[in-house]
Amino acid sequence: MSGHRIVGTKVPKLDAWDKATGAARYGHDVSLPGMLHGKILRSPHPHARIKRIDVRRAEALPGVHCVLTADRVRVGKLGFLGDHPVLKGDKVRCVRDEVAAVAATSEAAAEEACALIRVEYEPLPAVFDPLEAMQPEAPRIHENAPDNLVPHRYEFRHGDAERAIAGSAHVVQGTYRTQFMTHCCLEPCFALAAFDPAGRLTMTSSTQVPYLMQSHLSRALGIHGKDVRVLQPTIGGAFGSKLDTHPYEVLAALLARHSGRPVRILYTREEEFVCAPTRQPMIIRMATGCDREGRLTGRVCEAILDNGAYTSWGATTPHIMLVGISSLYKLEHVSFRATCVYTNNPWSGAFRGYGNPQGTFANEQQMDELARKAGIDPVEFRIRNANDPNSTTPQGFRVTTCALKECLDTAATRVGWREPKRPNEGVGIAGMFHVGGGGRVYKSDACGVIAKLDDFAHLTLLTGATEIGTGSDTAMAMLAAEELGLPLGNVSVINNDTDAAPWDVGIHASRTTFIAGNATLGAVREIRRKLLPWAAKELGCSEDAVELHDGSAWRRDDPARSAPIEKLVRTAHFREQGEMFVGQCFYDPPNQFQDPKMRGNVSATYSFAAHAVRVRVDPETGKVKILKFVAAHDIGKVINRLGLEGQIEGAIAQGIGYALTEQLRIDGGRVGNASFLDYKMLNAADLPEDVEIHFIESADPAGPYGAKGVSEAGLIPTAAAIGNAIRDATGVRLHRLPMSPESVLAAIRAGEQEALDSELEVTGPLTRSGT
Amino acid sequence: MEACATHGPSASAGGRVFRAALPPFEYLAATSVPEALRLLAKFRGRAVLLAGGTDVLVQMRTGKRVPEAVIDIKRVAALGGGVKVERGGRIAIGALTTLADIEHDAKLRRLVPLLPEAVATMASPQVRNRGTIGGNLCNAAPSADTAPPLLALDALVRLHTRKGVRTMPLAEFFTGPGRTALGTDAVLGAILVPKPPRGLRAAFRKHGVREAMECAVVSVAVAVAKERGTIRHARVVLGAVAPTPLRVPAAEALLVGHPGGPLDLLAAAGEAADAARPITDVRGSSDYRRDVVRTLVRRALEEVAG
Ligand SMILES: Cc1cc2nc3c(=O)[nH]c(=O)nc-3n(C[C@H](O)[C@H](O)[C@H](O)COP(=O)(O)OP(=O)(O)OC[C@H]3O[C@@H](n4cnc5c(N)ncnc54)[C@H](O)[C@@H]3O)c2cc1C
Repeated sequence: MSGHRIVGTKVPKLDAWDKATGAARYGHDVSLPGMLHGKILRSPHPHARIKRIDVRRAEALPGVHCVLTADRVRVGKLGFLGDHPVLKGDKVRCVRDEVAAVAATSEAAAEEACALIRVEYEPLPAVFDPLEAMQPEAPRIHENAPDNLVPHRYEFRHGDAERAIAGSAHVVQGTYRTQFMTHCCLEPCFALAAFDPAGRLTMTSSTQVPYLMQSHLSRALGIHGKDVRVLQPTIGGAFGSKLDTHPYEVLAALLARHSGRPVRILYTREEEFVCAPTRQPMIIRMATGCDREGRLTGRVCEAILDNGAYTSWGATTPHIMLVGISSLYKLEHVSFRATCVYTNNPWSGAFRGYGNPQGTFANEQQMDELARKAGIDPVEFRIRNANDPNSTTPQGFRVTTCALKECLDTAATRVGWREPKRPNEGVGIAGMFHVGGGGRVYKSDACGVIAKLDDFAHLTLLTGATEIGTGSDTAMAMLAAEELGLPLGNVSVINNDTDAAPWDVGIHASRTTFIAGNATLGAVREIRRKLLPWAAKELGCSEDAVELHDGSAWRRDDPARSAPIEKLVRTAHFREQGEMFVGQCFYDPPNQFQDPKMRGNVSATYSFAAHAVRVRVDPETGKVKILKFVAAHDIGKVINRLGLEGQIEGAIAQGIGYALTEQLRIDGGRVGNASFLDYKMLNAADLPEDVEIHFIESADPAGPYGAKGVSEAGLIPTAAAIGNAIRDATGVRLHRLPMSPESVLAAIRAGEQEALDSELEVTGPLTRSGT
Repeated sequence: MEACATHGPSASAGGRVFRAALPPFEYLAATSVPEALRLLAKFRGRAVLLAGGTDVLVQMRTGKRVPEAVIDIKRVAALGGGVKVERGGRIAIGALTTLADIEHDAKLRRLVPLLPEAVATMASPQVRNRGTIGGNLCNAAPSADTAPPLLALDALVRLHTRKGVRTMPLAEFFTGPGRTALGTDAVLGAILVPKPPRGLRAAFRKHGVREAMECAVVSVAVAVAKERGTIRHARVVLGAVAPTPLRVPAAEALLVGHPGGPLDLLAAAGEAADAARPITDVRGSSDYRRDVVRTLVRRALEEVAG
């Protein structure tokens, strides 16, 4: 199908050199003349009334310019439901809570000043378990939420799932629990705020949503959006954590406004662990049924999410959680309800996969169990139920391209599904379904690109699409270079300044290569249209006969005749009434905002994948070793093979951590493992050596050159695939993440005990050696 | 549901601030043992010695240690000296010898491979380049990875005090988590490993969630020497399951005089599990740790005594 010269090749990311050599400038590297250092004083209590704050000694400390508390500032609330005060005045609801902020001439002075602030708290009863928080006698966290329920409900019904399940030949039901996970961005949070004399704010930020941030800040600070400019330096990781505008960012601006100086706030690593958002823990109750032939009949799912103390974008994750539950396989009857519950835990946010990893952990383990019950091979069972191209799912998703069956088949074959296994070895597989053509969670799902080709044939793409390390810049540059026939080195992307670049909703939902890629094509095609007449004239042929590649225009019928593109541009440019080559596009995908009943074609296309894994479980320590990992992804079309492999590998690593080791340990509202030593993110040495990644190109008609979004997909099925492999190896199934050695061993022991008990009935007492 | 009045700082403190800056301290670099001892005496317990700093700096940053002075001993030649085999076969290891040097030392790999093997499981290459064996022992973490192998090898430590040089068994050196016989006015000079008994076979096992950058949840070192099919010498040592690294004489007694058959090993492993006094923390529950002790001791013994 190809014929492409750049698209589909392996290209190092545009920023690879800068990052590898240390030349890249991250937020922590940026400082301004006269800049002050901001620090935040946070609550020591998960729930308490603030009775009095005394800042006099802090203010008297040399070097201190400004001390802010809630009663000294006028500032709007943050969050998707506006329930999150920037500075807490009457009450604190979790240990992250910002009680005061200080700006001083040095970081040490700001820290010292924070330590000198006296606060009188009256501790209140607190609640840390969402189920307990739902009890009538539970402490109330927000005055306007008497039941501790976030006032935003998620309910979806299609058909009659309860009846369908009741009439099923086989039913599996279970409760699954997932943990707090944190993003572990290598760059801890930062914000740098500066006002110019006219009162215009420049916020240097690692946000994923620069244009939404403009309005968040304008609302919080009570200034017009035109007076907020957002600059983004190189961003050292986001993974969803920067979809919200956070209190520290507003605090940097408030401190800057009150001190009249630029103010920078940097998190320490410990602060990052304690204060950055988390993936929300969920309690998922699910039942799935199938008929005698192994066709799914219906599914019922109820989920309870630990929202923590405030509501971020994370509270909308049930939308994306549901897509996998309702639409990975053909299902005619589905019912779903999700409830987000306030607790005094640190609040949860958005995180790669956006609820789908949690949901898929449940539903793909149920698929496995159901296959066993029905006596059908789990791969065959999935293929029997897999979605087909050109179908519509219960939520009204229009699946156009769909290579799920090929993904399942490839993953199973490559992992050696039917090959013999040694003792304690097992294989597992899991599929996944995710948005692959944007995700309309906001009124616009669009991205703007302005492309400008200069008289040296250098192409600049100006866009609001943010690069957070996914390689989206490189993909955009490759698409533009392919389309205009330019070498990749002729293209640069400028996307770090809301004053310069056109609007984009933000980087989320695996959308950027798809949406910004389409916007790029729209913009450069306009240039192409303007350029072709000049080429045709120069080559003495019709426009149809012109090809652009390798930096020149060529006559298709006479390869000896060509003209450098830069020469064409100069010819058009340097003359009276010359012409400039600029193109622009505001691409908004053909997808829909979901209605309150959670229906609507939320994405312009959907991505599918299957992961298969071979594990060995140590039956005496519970440690799981991954011997082989195979990922097969329907990505539509490979744009940058190297970047794609990096995205999948990274997601697999994050997914294995989610499955086996990562957990922010929060006890009594407090984080107990705020360091990389005790938060078990995996290292290179822990990752499987044998990882295979396969791409299946289903050539999506809506995608740029056929591509679909992919960057979350690699995380989503990983935990379920590993859970299924552990089941295969040990005979026991884990319902709780992470599947740590300790919990695997406990499950094995419980399973042995069960087996022993049933044996006892037949053979009488036995003594077991070693105990 | 839990009332939270019981934990957290007192109501008078304003709350929590995450400090990036180290608290102020005086930095002093000693060039000789007497000078280091003099400085220690001057600060009377309010100074900390600095070797590789891979424990000290972490502790200072997290506020676990707020010393008035940091006394750098890296340039004290008498504490270095690397690995030397003395006449008679005893091995002397200077306290400042880095973990990386121990890992790669040809003599140690030949004479007591147990130690370099254990060291290779520690931290990461970067930390091993910096961290020292003396620092690992003096930091006295119950999970210190050089302790079980050295105890299994009956190591001694040489301490310098103002009264002179003193040698004591490493087994008596550890007095509690983070506490040693050093007190506040002594310096560890060297670790002495006696010539191992003829035919000694030893093994180290470490259990953690990760393959590197991992504190042991449980570690085990065993050493066994047999004569004509009978175990004549046995050491069973556990890490991370008691306030100090723990030798288990009861397990050793079950091995000595026996051939080391499967039942002997199981019995010794059971004894080790009983002797363990693990705590429950973020790294593992006490029951789990005990369970893993049993498994690791048995497996380590199978390797060396089977
Ligand atoms: C990321 C990371 C991973 C780690 N992983 C492991 C691991 O896997 N296993 C493990 O056991 N440890 C691990 N550690 C801990 C640490 O690296 C080791 O304990 C190391 O050996 C300490 O040596 P040091 O020279 O850096 O000690 P320092 O930090 O310099 O000192 C440690 C303590 O010993 C005292 N001290 C040092 N030398 C002397 C001396 N000669 N006389 C008297 N007192 C002295 C110091 O005053 C201090 O109290 C890890 C640390 C980090 C940061």
